[in-house]
Amino acid sequence: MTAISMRDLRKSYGTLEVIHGIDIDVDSGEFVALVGPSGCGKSTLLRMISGLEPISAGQMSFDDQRVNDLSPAERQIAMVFQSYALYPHMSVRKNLSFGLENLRMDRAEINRRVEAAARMLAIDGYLDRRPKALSGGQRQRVAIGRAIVRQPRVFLFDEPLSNLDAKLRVQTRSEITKLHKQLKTTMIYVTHDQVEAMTMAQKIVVLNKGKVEQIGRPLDLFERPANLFVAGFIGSPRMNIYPGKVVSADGTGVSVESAHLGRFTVPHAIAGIEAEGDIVIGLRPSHLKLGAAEPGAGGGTMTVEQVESMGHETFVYGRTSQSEDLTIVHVPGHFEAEMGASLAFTFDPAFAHLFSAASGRSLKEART
Amino acid sequence: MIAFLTRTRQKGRMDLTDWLAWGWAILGTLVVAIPVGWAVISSLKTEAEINSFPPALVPRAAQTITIEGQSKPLSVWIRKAPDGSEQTVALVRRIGLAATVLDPAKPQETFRVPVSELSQLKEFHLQWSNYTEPLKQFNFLRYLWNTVFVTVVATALTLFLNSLTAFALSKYRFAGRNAVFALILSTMMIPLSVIMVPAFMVIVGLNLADNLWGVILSTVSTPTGVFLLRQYMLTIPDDLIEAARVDAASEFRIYWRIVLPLCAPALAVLAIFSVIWRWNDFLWPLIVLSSPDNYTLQIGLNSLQGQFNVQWHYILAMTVVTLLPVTVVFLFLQKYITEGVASSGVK
Amino acid sequence: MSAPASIAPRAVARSERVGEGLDAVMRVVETPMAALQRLIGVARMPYVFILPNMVLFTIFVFVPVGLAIAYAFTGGTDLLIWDRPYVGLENFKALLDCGNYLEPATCRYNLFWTAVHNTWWYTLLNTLGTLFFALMTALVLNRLTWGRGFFRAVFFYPVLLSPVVVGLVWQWFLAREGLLNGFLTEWLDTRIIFLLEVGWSRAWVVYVSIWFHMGFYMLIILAGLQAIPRDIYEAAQIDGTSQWRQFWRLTLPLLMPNLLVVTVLLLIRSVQVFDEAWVLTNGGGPGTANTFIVQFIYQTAFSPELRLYGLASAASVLMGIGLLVLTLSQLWLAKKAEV
Ligand SMILES: Nc1ncnc2c1ncn2[C@@H]1O[C@H](COP(=O)(O)OP(=O)(O)O)[C@@H](O)[C@H]1O
Ligand SMILES: [Mg+2]
Repeated sequence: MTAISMRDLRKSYGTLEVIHGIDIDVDSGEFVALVGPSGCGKSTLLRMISGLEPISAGQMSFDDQRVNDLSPAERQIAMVFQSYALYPHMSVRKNLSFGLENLRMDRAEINRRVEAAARMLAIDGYLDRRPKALSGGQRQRVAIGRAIVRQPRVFLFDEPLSNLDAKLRVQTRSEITKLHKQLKTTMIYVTHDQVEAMTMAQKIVVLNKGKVEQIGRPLDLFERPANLFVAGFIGSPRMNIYPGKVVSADGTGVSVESAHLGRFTVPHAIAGIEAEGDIVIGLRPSHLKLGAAEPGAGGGTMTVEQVESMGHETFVYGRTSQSEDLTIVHVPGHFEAEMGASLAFTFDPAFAHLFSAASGRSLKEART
Repeated sequence: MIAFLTRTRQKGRMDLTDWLAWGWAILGTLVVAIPVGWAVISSLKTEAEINSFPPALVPRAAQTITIEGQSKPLSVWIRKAPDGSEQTVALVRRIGLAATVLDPAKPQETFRVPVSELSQLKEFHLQWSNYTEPLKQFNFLRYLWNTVFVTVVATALTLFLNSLTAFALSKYRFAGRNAVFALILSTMMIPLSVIMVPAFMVIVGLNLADNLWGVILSTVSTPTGVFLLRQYMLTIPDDLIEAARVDAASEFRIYWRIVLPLCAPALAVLAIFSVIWRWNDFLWPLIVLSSPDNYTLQIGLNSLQGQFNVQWHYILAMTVVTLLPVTVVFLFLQKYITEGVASSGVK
Repeated sequence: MSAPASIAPRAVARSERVGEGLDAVMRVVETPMAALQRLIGVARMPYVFILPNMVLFTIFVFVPVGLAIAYAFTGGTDLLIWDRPYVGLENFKALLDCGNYLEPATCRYNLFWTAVHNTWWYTLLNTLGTLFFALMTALVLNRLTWGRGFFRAVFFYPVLLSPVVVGLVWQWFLAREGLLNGFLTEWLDTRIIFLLEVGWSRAWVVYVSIWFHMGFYMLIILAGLQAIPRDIYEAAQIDGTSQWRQFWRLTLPLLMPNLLVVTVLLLIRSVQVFDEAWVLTNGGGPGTANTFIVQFIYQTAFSPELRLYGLASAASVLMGIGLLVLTLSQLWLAKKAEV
């Protein structure tokens, strides 16, 4: 059980800075996901936590102890690599025990831990095989097992599921969650897949271009994205985005005008909002309904480009005008529409997210 | 069989160039095989046979017979009498052009005949003592041991030190890495023949003259080895090294337990080459080693032919002993070796 | 790379026990290395790893290279450099002191110039000869669809022999009582003492060198041949190009970069001829007919009655400069071949 705190953490390769001052607090025993698009610095940050990558500036502490200059072994972390990085020339048993032997642990204790981990992960049948003789899922378990036997203070995962097929990925996802419940060890989990982060983590850190965009519980990120980036990144399919203008704002609500959505009123106050200001309106596909707008509600029409029906739910893709991004509407159940047909949609203004067009920051957030 | 032979590139009949190609290949094989084969055959001949001319194509020795009343076994000859009759006789002694012989059937009666009437009977015989004698008499066992010692120790050190360097060059970023690599590669351009005088002085300065370690230490670091291993290590994923680092392995342990086992194929190639290089080394041991007790096989062999009385039967036997290990290695590993040479240009 | 997947678990376990045994032995090095790592940090470990090799390179290559030049400017017969008097360019002057460079007898060190001449002729003939035979053999082997591996091995085999073995095997073959003279007597009723006649011995030295090293160059050329895509020939065949034309118009131009590299490599190695020629000719004979530059250096420096280290080093330096030019041109060619 280890709490981690990062203060103004920076990393440069030569003159190129790739991590630009990051502050994150991980509570003891917490499961934290680092998400962000590819190349945003997730792996680099994780490797800085692990001790594999030297920290250029800032402070990293485990339980209030500065660990900047400690090696991975001294930090007592364990890591599961994207490629698994199993030692190809060693049997599964040896893969698990190698780290313990390096610590000069007692042979009996090593065997006990290896057996226990193998049983827990159901790999006890393959202990004397080489990794090459295992399937992708089995290798993945061995990689996790290698981390477990160490009984580390912190588990680090770098996109551990990205090499598995979709079905196995869902299954392993829940197994890792279960593992966390069982071990109650601090875990930091890197993924570019926001679904993974949303379903597994207790806390999510959204990274972009080497900076933290938002830190919060999964539902917070979904319901109250701090900015346009998080709004676009979290949620699947992504949020619909439209340009708009504030017509008037007072203590009871904000009246908004948009070429695409007509005029509607958000029924709560937003501090510091100015009339005539340019804003961006964000609407989740699930908050849009097909049908004509009722008075007071917002709405628009779109030309249908594509309909994806999964049977129990349907996504309708269309455009409100040629120049705008696609509008996505989530329809429960099966639904059919002609390409090129004109469909009206509406929404409850209470669900509209407003962002400053200039800074991209959420205007709802300004209220709190 | 014929169909098999004629399956050439055009998948049709053999044309003229195919015949020429086969002719070249077979002729070439003879050109390679005959001198070596001749040395092997000759190495099993007796001293008398080896000096007789024209040479016999198979190793033979004089046929002998033990006769009662004679202290030594006698050689057997055919006597062709002037009347054309032939008779088998045993030679007792020979003085000038006359020989004293006897008929094995009547051992008591000796008689004299002109040498010109006699021709010797010979039988197939392999003179294995050509191999055993020099081992005792000329210290060849010592040379053999020295060579094995140099080969084994130098190869082990070559593998160890060069792989350690290759590990540093392929798996770490450190200031001066490229300069070090370039410096090592540049030593390929400096042949022994250019630096033999000062290199010998260094050996003398280190008190390693006439010492096998002087031969070993100067051959251990090879740019070829470093290069070969580095290229191979670059293909080992860095993740494995980081995983081991997370697994609390020290850097040396990572080298020893992760990188080295994974380099086995490249190490094998280098080991084969190193063994052959060290076994065959000539000029440098010739410079460094001066007392016969420290000679390697190559130097010992070379010194034999400089002697006043050239004993070819021994020289050839020891030549065969010297070429045998390399030949055996090649027989088993020829695919490995030829492909290693073709892909790396190493020799 | 690693063991095949089908390897039996028991075998895996056994190999791992062997590994553990080795491990115990290796602890002797590992423990101090780990301690060192704690002391100096991971970032400095690569310097530790390259250290032994760099020390050896320094002692046995870099220092001698520097010393070779220093020696060339000193005189006397002492080996240790600090005991040797500085003589300036004297050694070079002595070596280059010549009435007519084409006439070794007019030179102060006529043996050096004899060696230079011999080496020059040897290099020319050996390079051309090896190139011809290696190319022909590679073409032949590339053509065979059956037995190629066998013949490749046969032609390569001599490369692995030692110079002493090669020298002795051929000395015996060409000896007075040798097989070749056996045949000559049988067929032509004559006998030639090949290695005691100037012309013959020179020819045989070149021939034996080709015999010895041809397989190596053959392999390199063969690799080049096999890298030429098949479909080029198929296209040519469809066009009805004759085989002869195919060779001159397709094979040879495509092989040219490869052949150039081989040629320079051959030149570099030929200039350094010593071992097998020395053994074959029993020390460069008859007379000085087969004395080459390296032998001159070796004898000048190490024969007990001479010990002219300075003169030998001056000759080394001169040869080194020549080799450097060749090597640089090889690197340049190799680079051009890559592009
Ligand atoms: N060794 C390196 N040298 C220079 N740049 C690097 C290095 N490693 C990573 N980077 C850069 O750092 C950024 C973050 O990389 P990474 O952490 O791997 O991203 P990801 O979020 O996909 O895991 C990338 O832009 C990458 O190009
Ligand atoms: Mg990554």
